[in-house]
Amino acid sequence: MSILTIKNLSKSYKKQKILDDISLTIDSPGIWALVGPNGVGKTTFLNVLTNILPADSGSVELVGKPNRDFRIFREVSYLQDNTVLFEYLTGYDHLKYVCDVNKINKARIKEVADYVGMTNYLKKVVGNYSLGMKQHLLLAMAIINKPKLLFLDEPLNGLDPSSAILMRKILIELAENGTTIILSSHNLSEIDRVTKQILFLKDKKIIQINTANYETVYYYLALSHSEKGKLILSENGFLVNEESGKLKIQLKDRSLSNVISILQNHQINIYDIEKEITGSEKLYEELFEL
Amino acid sequence: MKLFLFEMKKIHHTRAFTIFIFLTVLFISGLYIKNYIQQDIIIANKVQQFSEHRSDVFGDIQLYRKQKEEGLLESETEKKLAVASKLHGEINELIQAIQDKKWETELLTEIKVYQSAIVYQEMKGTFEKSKKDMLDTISLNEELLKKGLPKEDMDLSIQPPIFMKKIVSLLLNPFGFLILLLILGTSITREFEEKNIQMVYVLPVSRPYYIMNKFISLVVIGIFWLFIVFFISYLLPYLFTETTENSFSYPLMSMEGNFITSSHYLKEAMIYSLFYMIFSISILIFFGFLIRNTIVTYLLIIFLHIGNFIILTNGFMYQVNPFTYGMVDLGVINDDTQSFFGTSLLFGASIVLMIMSIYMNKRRGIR
Repeated sequence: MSILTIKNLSKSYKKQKILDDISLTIDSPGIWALVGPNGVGKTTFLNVLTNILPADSGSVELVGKPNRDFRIFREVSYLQDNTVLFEYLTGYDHLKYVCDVNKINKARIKEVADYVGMTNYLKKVVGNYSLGMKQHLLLAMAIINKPKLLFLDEPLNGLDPSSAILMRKILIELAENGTTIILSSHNLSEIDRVTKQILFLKDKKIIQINTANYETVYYYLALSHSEKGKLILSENGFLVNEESGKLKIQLKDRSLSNVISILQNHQINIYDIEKEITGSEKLYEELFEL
Repeated sequence: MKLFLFEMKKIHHTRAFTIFIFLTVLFISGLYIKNYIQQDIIIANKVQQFSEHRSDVFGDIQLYRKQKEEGLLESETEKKLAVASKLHGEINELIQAIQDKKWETELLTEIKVYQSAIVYQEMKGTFEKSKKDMLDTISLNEELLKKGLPKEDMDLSIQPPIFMKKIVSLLLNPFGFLILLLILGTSITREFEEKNIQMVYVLPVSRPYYIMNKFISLVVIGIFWLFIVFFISYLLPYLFTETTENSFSYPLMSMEGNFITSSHYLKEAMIYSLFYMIFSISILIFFGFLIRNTIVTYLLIIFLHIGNFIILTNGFMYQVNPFTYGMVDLGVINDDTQSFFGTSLLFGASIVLMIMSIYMNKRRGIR
């Protein structure tokens, strides 16, 4: 059974075509990122998939059922824009509502609140929430029913770094536990950290690409002797640049342990190592001719 | 049930309804206090009314006497003088009975006064009250004497059934129901405008079920408001008024000319108001889910209610127009026998509107 099947999907809005004859099948767990410029139709695409907006033509099946069947939402969730929340109700009220319609035990509310880190403000009115807190609530609402298919619209919006890390961790865990995740995001570096499967929305079509082939891995090293470290690594054939007081090193065929070994042999201490993977950004530039 | 409770919670949190209930209680209490304070005015008003009649009749008597002195009195005028003198005496008795608060004497004397006044009017004498009104009053007085009840002022009475009737006429009319709808309307339209509805659309809740849930929660709220109206308007007189025994048997004259008891009136009023409230809410659901814009929906509902009110108050009361039954007081008084037809019409119209609402929204997106 396919998790997501789209056949010849088209959608126009005010006589302007937004989605044109899109077909796509996803039949395994994992994370797919939906990427495209502002206003290209990413939210519309997700809204059509979830039947918030009806398609002009074509069909969509989620978890093996037509998307018009409201029962699919026992296994499908959608993390939307935070404006869908009721400002005058508490986070607990929202989660309880979702539990009630899904016939889930209330005990799950605390479990999920703890998991996403919103226990401290669960009983506060949503109108008093920051943007990040609202995103936590939306995530809690989206995962409370342990969905097989999860749509997320800009889930990283308004999140501070620690929340973004937590969100990333949760999504990866969900995917490892069998959930298929489709998230739209502008944050290409964050996308690169969670998935290599990208759905580019361009010219009203979906282009599905695995960015693994476009990946480049960089490491940022904080050293006790940066200048000496840079010289030594360059002499050993590494591509090294200095950025923000750290050495940025690109590994191609060699390993990080090799780098560490060389530095240690020259009595250079390593205080911090950060990893960065790029791939989608380069591809994005090519696709959208930037 | 749980979804229903969630809807109730949303409505409660908007506070508008709580304020509306508070204002309803305040209005009823205020009217009761005003009536309570003005009880002495009832006697003063009656005395003034009959004093004016007495003055008119006395003026005629003086004219006839002058004609008699001048030798101009004809036999016809002689008769008129006799009737006028009798009438004048009866009016004096009546005023005395009113001032002495002897209600039985008052009722009997009033009957005599109007019987004489009818004869006097037929002789072209001056008495500023229509024959129909006088005949109706005679019938009412006879009915009251049969039941052993004093006459009540329909505007200022603080006896429970009459005060409740006054409240029904003031609150359970197109304007009262309109205010209720305007208070409740935002619970539908705002969810579209503020996109809260999108949250519901991606939950395992069918749209027909959601619409019905919304409808039932609004009906329950409406029933609560009706309960407050009837309960408070009964409770205040019950607690603070020296109630007349058998007051719920007080006769009210219908348009057909027969009498209904005030308990029957109130029972009919409760039924009509309940069904009209259900009909009003189904209109709100229909337009709310169709238009999805607060201002346009409100303007349409206001237009419908005020337009119908204008039609109704100009005498165009049609049994087949469901809005006719929004004037609950008139609806009961007009014809107390048509409640089955009226309630069936309202219920049928509600069902049709709900089916249309569900059908139109079944596949429609948020735009």
